Amino acid sequence: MAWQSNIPLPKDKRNISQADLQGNFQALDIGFNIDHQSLDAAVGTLGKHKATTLTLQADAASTAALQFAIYNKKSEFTPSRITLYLRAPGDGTAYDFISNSFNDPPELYPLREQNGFSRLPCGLLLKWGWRVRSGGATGYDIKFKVNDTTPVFSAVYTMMLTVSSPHNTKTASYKDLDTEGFTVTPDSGNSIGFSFLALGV
Amino acid sequence: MAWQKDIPAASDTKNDSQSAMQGNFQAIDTGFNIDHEALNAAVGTLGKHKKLTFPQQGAAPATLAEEFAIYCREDDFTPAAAALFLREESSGTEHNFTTCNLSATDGWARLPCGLLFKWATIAAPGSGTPIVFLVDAAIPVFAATPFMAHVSVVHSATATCAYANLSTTAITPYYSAATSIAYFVVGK
Repeated sequence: MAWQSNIPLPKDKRNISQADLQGNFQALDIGFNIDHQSLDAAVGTLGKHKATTLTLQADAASTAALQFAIYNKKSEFTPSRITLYLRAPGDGTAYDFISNSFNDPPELYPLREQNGFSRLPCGLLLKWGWRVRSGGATGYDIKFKVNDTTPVFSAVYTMMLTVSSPHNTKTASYKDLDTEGFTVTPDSGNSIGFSFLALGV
Repeated sequence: MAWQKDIPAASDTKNDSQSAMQGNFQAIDTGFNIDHEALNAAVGTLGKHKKLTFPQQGAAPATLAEEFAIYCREDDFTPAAAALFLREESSGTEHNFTTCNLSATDGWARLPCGLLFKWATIAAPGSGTPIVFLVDAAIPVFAATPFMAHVSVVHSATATCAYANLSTTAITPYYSAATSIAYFVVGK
């Protein structure tokens, strides 16, 4: 029998109350035992969580002061997928800390691992990549990958750049780092391979 | 009516028991339905979580062997603020994974596993001059020598760059030319 929040009533007969009470205890047994240690568990285990299954919500969870919330909502990307958000106190910023480049459909983004991103629960956004460029003169403008499944930096703080194969005997640097990309400048010649890791939010 | 954990009592009359039990079911209904799917939801959904709300706790909860805990408490910085922590088993180390400094200078962030990132882009201090990581009441210290670091020169295409003397407090960059230096250090 389904849960009834307002039983027993004063006028209920014994046989009605018995069925209502039993129905409520059955509903509690089913409901509480999902995700939680069993209601007949020993004290010390009783009440703890076995797991947390977060069902999809339509809207962001509200948070009061001195409260955090974690919830499951569709991501802001296309195609939209379920993801987990951590929201700061006082209805603060909510960061999607599950979506990452490995979720990209490989048939659409075959270089997804080489143009990756991931976000930490605190909001720090990491973007990394590997490129080989040739044909330019003094520098190459590199754009951070942005598409329907990749977030845009709202600010970028720093970036590491390392020269890599097939030009590992060269040196290179970067300049003009901003939220969209940077310019890489090889020491000589007109080709350069490099990897980068950019940190921002 | 507020929750009563010891009802019905043996001496309760039928009327006492009725109101006490009704009060308890109302309390359960209110309490359980916070963060959980409703108690009258279909089996399969019933009991699962809609969200997790972490109100600030006065102290870290204890964890037994083979248990983790996630909770909100005031962080250990000054000024203190609410933060989420993940605690390891057997009341082990707590990792604050929400407090951070997202900025271009003296940035830092910590992962739930405890890994600590520190980074900055700063004016080049001079090759061989240590860069001391800023530490104050709001910035954590590396507990042990960091695992790795990366140093890049900015705007100096012909420069070579390396580092030495990586420690809990500083890193020393060496470079042939640079106007700015970027570093990224990973430790705990």
